[in-house]
Formats: sequence, C-alpha cells, structure tokens
Amino acid sequence: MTSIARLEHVTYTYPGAPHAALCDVSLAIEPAEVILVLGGSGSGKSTLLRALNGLVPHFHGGTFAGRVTVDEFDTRTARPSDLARRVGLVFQDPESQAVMTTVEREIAFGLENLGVESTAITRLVEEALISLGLSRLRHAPLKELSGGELQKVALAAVIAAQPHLLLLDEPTSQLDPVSSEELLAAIRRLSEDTGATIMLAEHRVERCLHLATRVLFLEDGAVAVDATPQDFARWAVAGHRELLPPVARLFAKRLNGQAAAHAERGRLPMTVKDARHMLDLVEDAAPRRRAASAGTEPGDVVLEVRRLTVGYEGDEPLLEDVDLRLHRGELVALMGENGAGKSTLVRHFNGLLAPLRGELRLLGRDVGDLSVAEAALSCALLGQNPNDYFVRDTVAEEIDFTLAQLPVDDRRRRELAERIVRELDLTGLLERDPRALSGGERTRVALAAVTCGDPALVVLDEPTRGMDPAHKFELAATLRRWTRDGRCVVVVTHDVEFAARCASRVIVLGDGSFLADGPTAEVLNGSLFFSTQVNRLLHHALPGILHEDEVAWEVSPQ
Amino acid sequence: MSAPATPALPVVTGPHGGARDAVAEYPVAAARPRRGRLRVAPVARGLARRQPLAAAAFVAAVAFAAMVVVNPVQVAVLLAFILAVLALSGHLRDSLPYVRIAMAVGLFLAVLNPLFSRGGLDVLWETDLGPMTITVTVQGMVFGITTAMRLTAVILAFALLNVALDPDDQLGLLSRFSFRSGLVLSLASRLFPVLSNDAARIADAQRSRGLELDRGTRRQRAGARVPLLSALLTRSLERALDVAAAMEARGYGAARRSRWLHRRPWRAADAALAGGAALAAVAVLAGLLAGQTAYSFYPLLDDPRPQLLDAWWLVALAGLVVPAGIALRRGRR
Amino acid sequence: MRALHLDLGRLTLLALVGLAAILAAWATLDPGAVDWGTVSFALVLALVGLGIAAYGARATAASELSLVAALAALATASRVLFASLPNVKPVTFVVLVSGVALGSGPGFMVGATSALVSNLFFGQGPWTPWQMLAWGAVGAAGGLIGRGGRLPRRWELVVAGGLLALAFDWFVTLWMFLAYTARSWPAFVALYAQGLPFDLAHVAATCLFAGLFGVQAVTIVARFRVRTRVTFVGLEDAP
Repeated sequence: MTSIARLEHVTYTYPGAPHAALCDVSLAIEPAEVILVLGGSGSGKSTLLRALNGLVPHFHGGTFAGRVTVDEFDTRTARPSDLARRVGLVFQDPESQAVMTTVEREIAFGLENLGVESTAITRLVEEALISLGLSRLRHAPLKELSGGELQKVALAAVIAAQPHLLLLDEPTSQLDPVSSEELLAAIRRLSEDTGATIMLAEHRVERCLHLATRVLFLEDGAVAVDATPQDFARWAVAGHRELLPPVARLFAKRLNGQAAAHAERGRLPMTVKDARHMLDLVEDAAPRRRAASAGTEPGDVVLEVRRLTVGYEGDEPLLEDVDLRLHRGELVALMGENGAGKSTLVRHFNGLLAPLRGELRLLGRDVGDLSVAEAALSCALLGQNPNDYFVRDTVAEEIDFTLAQLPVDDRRRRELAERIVRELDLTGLLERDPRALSGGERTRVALAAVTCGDPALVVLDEPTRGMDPAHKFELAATLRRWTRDGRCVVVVTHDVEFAARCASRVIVLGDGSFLADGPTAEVLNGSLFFSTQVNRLLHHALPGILHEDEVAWEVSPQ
Repeated sequence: MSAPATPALPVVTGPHGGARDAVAEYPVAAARPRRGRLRVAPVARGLARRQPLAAAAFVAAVAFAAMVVVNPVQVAVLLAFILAVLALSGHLRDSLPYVRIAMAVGLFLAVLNPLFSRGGLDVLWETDLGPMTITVTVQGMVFGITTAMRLTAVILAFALLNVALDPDDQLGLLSRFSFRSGLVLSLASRLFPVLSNDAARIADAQRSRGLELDRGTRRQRAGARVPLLSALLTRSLERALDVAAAMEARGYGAARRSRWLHRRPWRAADAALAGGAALAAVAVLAGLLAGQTAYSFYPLLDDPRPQLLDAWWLVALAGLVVPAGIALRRGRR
Repeated sequence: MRALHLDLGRLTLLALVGLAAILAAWATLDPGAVDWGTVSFALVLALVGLGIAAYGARATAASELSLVAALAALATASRVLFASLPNVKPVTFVVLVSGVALGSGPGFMVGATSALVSNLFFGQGPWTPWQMLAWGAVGAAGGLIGRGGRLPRRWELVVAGGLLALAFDWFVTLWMFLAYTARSWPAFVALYAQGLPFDLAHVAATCLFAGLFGVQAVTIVARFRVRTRVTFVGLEDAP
C-alpha cells in the first residue's frame, strides 16, 4: 500500500523565528488512517499540517530542509494551488476562513479555482451541502451563521473538492460542545463512508481519542510519540496524564506501581462505555471515595442581583426575574447551552450591558450608577478572546497600562504589578509581545491585564477555549488560589471537567431562569448532560464523585 | 435569491460618506448575538426578481436620464416614474431613508439656488447683503425647485438600485467586471461584519480593564480610542493573513480558473428591460449631444411643452416605461 | 451568451470610457452648452473603472488581495469604534496609512473599496463614484509619500492627512455644485459653508489620528506587507 503522504527529515523554521518549528520529522501516512495530532501550543501541530498542503514553505517563507511528498507531488516544487486538489485544510478560526459572502458561493469558490466546469460545480456544491446537513443554509449570508455552522461550511467547501487527504487544524477549539460533537461526528462519517485519510489536530482528547487509529504527539517540533491510541495512553501514564481522558486517568491510577500489565487488564478505556465494561472485568480492586477536604465557608456578598431581567429590546428576554448572590471565596461555574444568556448575564456585572429590569449591586453600589471603567475596579471581566486586550508591545507595558488607569499612587501600582506577575507566573514573559505568545500564555497575560487592580470579583468567559490540558490544570489551580485569598471568581464555561475540577458552586442557565444552583458535587452529580466522565461511570456506586482525584482504588481482599 | 437588503440601521448617508450618520449606539446592536437565528428572507418582488444585469442596466439608464434632463416637466415625469416603480416593487418604505436625505439636500438646494442665481426678470424680492445683492426671481425659484427634483430623482434612482440588487448581486456584477477586484470587494464585504464585531468586542474588553471611553470631552474620548484602533488594525491584518492562507489552501492562484454560472436563464422580461434601457440611454445621449436637452431658465422660462414631443424624449420614455411595466407585472416570473 | 459574459467587463469599461471621451470632447468643443454635472460624473466613473480594471489586471498574490480587502473593511468598521462620536471618521486616516505602507496601487484600491463596501452596507448613492475616486486618490497620494519604502515623519502625515481630508470633502461636494447649482461664486461659498462643520471635524479627526498613531500604524501595516517569501530550501538530507 503506497503512502498517501510522506515526510522525510523535515526541519522548518518560520522567518525570523529563533527556534525551528519542526525538527527532523519523518512520517508516512497511509490511506484511510485517522491520525490524531496532539501537543501543547507551539509544539508544531499546525506547522506539520501546513507542511502537508504546501503553505509551509510557500506561503509562510522561512527555511525548509527535508522533503514532503503528497501523492506524487514534492512540496518543494508544487505550490499550494497544485496540492489543493489532493489536500484539504480546515482552519481553526471559523470567521477568518471564508472568502465569499454566501454559503453556496463559498463552497463553489474552491472548485472555481481548480477549474472545475460549471455544471459539475453545481452538483458538487449540492452534494457537499447535503452531506453536511447544510441544505437549508444554501443561500444564507455567512455573517448570520454561528461558529459551528461556519466550520461546517468550511468543511463542506473542502470536501467538495474531494481531496485524498483531509487536514483539520483544531477545528472545534472555538466551538461549544454541541457544535463540536456535530463536527466530529461529521468527520467520523466521512472517514467511515469515504475512506478518506484524516489528520486531526485537537486538544479535546476525550472527544476524539476513540476515533483515531493512530496518535502523534509533538513536543518542541519533534515527534515524541507515534503509536496506536492504546500504546499512546500507556506512554502518557508515565508522565503526561493530562493528555488522557478522565476515565483513562482513573484506571491509570490502578496501574500505579505495576509494570505495564498484559493486554486485557492493562488496557485503558477511552470512553465511558469502555470504562463501564472494564469496571466489570476488574476483579482485584474497586474504586472508593477518598476523604474529601473541607470546603471553605463563603464570605461577604460581593454581588447582589435582584429581580433581574436580561435580554435585548424586541426579543424574548433571556432571563426573567432572577435573584443571585455571589460571595467571596466562591468559585462559581456558570453553565448552560449556547445562547442561554450566560455571556449576556455576566456582562451586566460590570455594566457593559444594562438590564431590562431589576438591579445589581456590586460591593453595595448600584452598577447602573457606575461607568464600566469605574466598575472595573471591583469587577474584572475577561472575554472570550484574549487578543482583544492587547494594545501594547510588551507584557509589562500591558500591565502598566491597566495600572495607569487606577486612582492610586505609584508605589501601590508597583506593588500590584509585582503581585500579579508573581501570582500568574509571568516573570519570564515580561518583555515578550503578548500576541506572539501561545494560547495558554496569552490567556494568562490577558487575565493579568484585567485583574492587576485587585478586584473583588473576577469573571472569565470561556477561558479554556482552545487551551491545552496542561494549561487548563494550571488555570484551575490559579483560580482556586484566588478564591482562597478571598476573591469571588465566576467562570462561564462549557467545559464540565474544568468546572468539576475548580468550582465550588455551579449554576445552570436555561429557559429564562436558573435551572440549578448549588454546590458542584450536587449539581453535576447524576446529570444527564452536565456531568463528568468519572461521574457518569460511578455515580450509582459513589454519588457526588466528579473526578479521579476523589477516587482511590482499594485492593479487594483476595 | 436572497431578498434585497435594507439598511439595517437608521442610517442617512450623504455625499460626505456618512458625515451625517445616525448610527445607533453600537453596544446594543453589536452585542446582540445574531447566531443561529436566520431571518426568513421575504419573497423578492418587482424589480428584484429580474436578472441583476438587466435591472442594473435599467437603473443606470434611469439615473442617466435623471442626470441629463433639465426641463421641469420632464423632470417631474421622470420623478413620478421612479416613485411608481418603487411603489409597484413594494419598496417605497425601504427607500424612505433616501427620500429623507433627498428632501433634506433638495430643500437646501431649493433655497440656495433662488438666493444666489441671477438673471431672472420677474423679480419677487430684492435685498442688499453687504457687497452682494440678493435677487429672488420667479425664474430662480423654478430653477431651485427643478434642481431639487432632479437631485431627488437621481438619489431615488440609486434607491432603486439598492432595492433591485442586494449586496450579493452587486458583488456578483462587480466581479464580472473584474475578477480580482470583485474578489477584493467580496473579501472586504465578508470581513466588514467580522471586523465590526471585533471592534465592539475590543472596546468592551478595554472598558472592562478600566479604560474610560464614555466620559470626558470629545477629544479625550477620541484619543482614548486610539489604542483600540491600533488593536483593531493588528487584528484585521492577522485576519487578512489567515484568509489569504485559506485562499491558497483552496487553490487560489492556480493557472486555469472557471466561473460558476448559476443564474436563472434570461427571460423575455429581462431582455426587454435590458434592451429598453440600452435604447433609452442611446436616445438620451443623442438628445444631449444634439443639444435638445437644454432648457434655459433665464432670463425668462422657456416653454416646457415643445420639448415633451422631442423624439429622443419619447423614445427614452418608451424604452423605460414599457419594459418596466412588463417587469413589474405580478404573477410568474 | 458565454462570450458575452466573458467580455462583459471589457465591454462595460469600453462603454464607460467611450462615453466619458465623447462627453469630454463635447465639453472642450462647446463649453457653453455642456451639462457639467453629467460630464463630470461620466469622467469620474470612467476613471474609477479604469483604476479598478488596472488593479485587477495585475496578478496579485492572495496575501496582498486580502490585505487590501482587510484594510478597506477596517476603514469602514473602525467607524463602529467611534459610533458615539459622530463626524469622527477614521476612514481617510486608514486609507492614507494603507497607501503609505503598501504603495499607490494598493492604496488606491483600499480607498475605492472602502467607499464601495461602506455603501454596499449602508446604501449606494450617486456620490459613490466620487467617494471612490476621492478616497482612491488619498490612497494613491499616500503611496507617493511612502515611496521607496521610506517611513514618513509624523508632521508629514499630519499635514498630508489634513490636506487630503480637506481635498476629499471639496471633491465630493463638487458634483453637487456642478450639477445642481447655478454655478456662481455665492452658491459655491454657500454650499461649502453648510458642510463646513463636518469638514472641519473630518480634518481634525484625521490630523488627530495621524499625529497620535500615524507612524506606528504605517509600521504595523508595513510589517504585514507581503513578507519576503524567499524560501531557503536547505540541502536535502538523502536518507
């Protein structure tokens, strides 16, 4: 079986970059494989994908050594436009991929470029729309589509050209869970129905590890692991547990101290279904609840909301008549489906939006009386896109920029600056350009820029989008530390695992009100949709258990 | 085919490119997530159902005639015709912003011209203003009203353009004119809503970190927004690169390029519209070059009636009215 | 029909230029009888058409096209930032910076496209070709300032910005004057006087932006200019 694509000793450096993005990478890609590419930000995943369709080096420039062959084409001589017939690439940002203004024109654009004849284009556009369930959106203007729909359009546009190799660069990182699932399901269907070769770079390991036939893990531009999912999982147990799905981590704890056991008992589950099956097979140990650490008592009220009605003029209100109290020391996860009003609600906390009815009091003062800049002293809001916060050339200047707005003296400013740098571990990044940093670092810098004034309430809107697992763990730890120091933290998130790990209280929004509001262990326990993998597995036996740190394997007496 | 676009905000543009904008305060408009709820496109009516090229030719001919014609009665006839087409297309309400601005500027002209033009013999009122003498004459007044009507006719002709061709059609036409320039325009139209949202988000983000954007003098507020402009600039350039990478990944730049023709086939009504427009344009041009379109207001008003029987005028009217009647007929396309 | 579609672009351009030429010839031969409104409109339309066709004839890379498009979109979208400050229009500033950083051709295109895009969304008017030509000229003028890749000084940008904003306002009002007034000096003064507050705000805004941010903006855009896409393909390491 001839390979679809091959990389031979590829070393590539972006122009002006200090380090190589790819170091001596050699790979062969066989037909019908589904390859999952993992790695932290900056590890070279994106570069690897772009090397396969010619963007590296022809679009980006730089220094390129080695050889990449796709079908019979050598990317040194073939340009991206030649390779577009054989290789398709779906990018990460739904908004920056489209060229045309309507869906059908967008799909036709690529086909026009390839010189496909007009009647054939009509048919291919139609079939691409049908296969991704987009028929009703045929004439829709792109500006009215959601992120998930835009990514489907991008995928449709790519598959319309019927490429042999389909590359996807973190396609779900900007999407909510439901849209992500739809996209991944579409990708799996493609693989099964057409036998297309797929290479998918992703962070959400728990969603796609079971789809893959092969896993590549990149570190600093080199391939650290190239194995089947099971072998990869076994490798990850040794030092990279954050890369495993939660149920795998749970079962990995059982392997502690044992050498890699033989096949059946040493297998790690990738899904809850797998895990349930394995639970039955495991005879020598059972999971038991670990002693939980006592929670902290909530402190003073930071934000009080009374009879709040939230929405836009002329539309149905998103929330009606809700009451809410937020206390110091709480870490609140705000969850709910897309469009339920979570982001809209939190934008009332600092005055960006005004309520239709009701009142909000921030540290006793009515938010309606304050300007947003004044409210920012007590309530910091970090939006979904950290890039929106960067207006200066270095991280240090960003922090100083915020501090310059504060009505305090220079000495206090210096204190606050040092404190935030320490708290968020930014010492090494102070002279760097914030835009040049990796995803997780950028979120940290944006968070520093917003919270350096020591506000009592910190709100984060979807901070974990596109974040690799290691950074998620760090962020969770930082937020917990802040609540212990007396702040109140609110996190709007879809990431149930993340919420389970750090939140003390969970509020679920939906249908105009709060569907649930209580301690994390209660709200996320036994839930139909908002529950963690570990909880789904164990909630009958061990109710209230949310993640594997709360579980210990007890060896059964033989 | 999606419906003709109406200006989404109560905007009144003008020659100064939006100097008189009445754009709604953005946070409310931009923050509303227009996601996943497609507005149902209303059924296209009247002129919008015709082929974009035919409709564009028609509007061009009408605008040309409106620009050239000076005879007050002829101008009035044209204006009435345009209003009738707008009304029969069911878009009279959508063109209200245009009517408003036409009336505003027209009123100004109707007042300005009589005050500052000379040569009429039937004086109504005279006064001295420093070194100048202001003479208001009957001829001046008729001139003023006629120029106001002429400008209104031209502006409403463009209203007709916006009604008959939605932005998508306009983009399509322009890309037939020049593929690459059409592509630039399409890209810019694609990126404009995205960057507008970016702008709103960036402003909110900076407010959230304590930057005061809403209080202070105008100069302070404008100056506070400069860092935002910088951030938006960088953002838009990054998006430009992403889009360019996506374009190349989709094969842009390959040697042989085809074009997707997915228009409805031309119907008789379309051909009539385009043919009539061409005929009318030629007739008007002929009249212009032959000097027959001229009409003098000074020193005495010409008799407007003889020009109504000029050949060029009658041919032009026929070329415009007859196909419009066919095009606006209700029923099947 | 296929042939007609293919040649539509050239046909339209030919018609436009032809019309403008005929009218211009007529204007020189018989200046008294000519309708200046129509002649000027036809001339402007023909010039715009020529400029756009000329730009489109070059084989430009995807990155330059998208850069021009993004800057044009930015020019219009930046109005969102200043929505609560009417009459503060950053468009002229953005077009000028684009011209300085990218050159006259792309600068013209940024200006013309800004006008088209903004009118695409907010409604076309008879002033559209005039705005296109005027902003296109601003961009082209910017190209002259930044000729040879030099970085202009701050005062150069402020002065150029102010003058170009003034010229822009003068130009777009010109058609009104030519076509719809008695073309006398008092009418001229009155017409421009009524637009004066808007013109002054426009000039002030452009100068403010140029002064506070001009040089930095040129640097940023120049950085994103088509990077040296020279790929040093290293020696092949044969396995």
